[in-house]
Amino acid sequence: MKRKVVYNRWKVPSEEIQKQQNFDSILKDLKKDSAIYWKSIGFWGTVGTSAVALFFLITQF
Amino acid sequence: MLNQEQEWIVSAKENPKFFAPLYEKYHEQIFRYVYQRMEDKQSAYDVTSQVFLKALKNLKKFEFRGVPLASWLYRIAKSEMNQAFRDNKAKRTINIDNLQVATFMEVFEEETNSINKQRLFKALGELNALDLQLIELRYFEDRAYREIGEIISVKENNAKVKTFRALEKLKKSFNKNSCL
Repeated sequence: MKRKVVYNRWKVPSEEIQKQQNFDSILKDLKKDSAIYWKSIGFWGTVGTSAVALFFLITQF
Repeated sequence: MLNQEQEWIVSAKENPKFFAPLYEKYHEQIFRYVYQRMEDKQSAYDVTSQVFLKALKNLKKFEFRGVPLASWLYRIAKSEMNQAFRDNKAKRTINIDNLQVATFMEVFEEETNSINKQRLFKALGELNALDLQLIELRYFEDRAYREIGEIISVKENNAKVKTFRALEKLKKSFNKNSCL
């Protein structure tokens, strides 16, 4: 990987970094991600397989 | 300190909103760690957000073993940065200032001048990823060996030995570039 050397870069002040904090937006993204999984093939695949397996189990015994 | 942190982690495992004090505590240091290795500030902020998002997603898997949560966050940050470099969303950067250059020149017993500065930059660019990481953690960010060990997942003594070897490699590479 090629690297670039930066010499004497201006240091970002703590106040500026603190202003960029946004925990609410991270929580929002977290909820969005959970919602995406709920709609995913992986989720419904697991649920579907479990349902079919349960059905066979119930009908067999 | 660690007990308080443990309490926050336990609460956050139940409800992610209780992660807020940990986010406030570690946001700046994770951002600085990322930005030290990146060229663009906005990309560094984006990667920092990704680190906390990933931490929240995987918090249930986090086991408290007496080390600060920071070590785990640094490991996530490293993986997120590597992903950003692979996707060409960010460029790997080595940030160095005049004080750090002077420190290396003192260690190498060389004069601080523009030729030696260029030799040092070239030598830093030639280090492998782990050695560069060790040099950055110890000499650019002034971290204790205990903390370096936690970040790279080795014991404190091993971190010390590895950092010493990385410095030796840097010196060798610096001397090789003497004809610059």
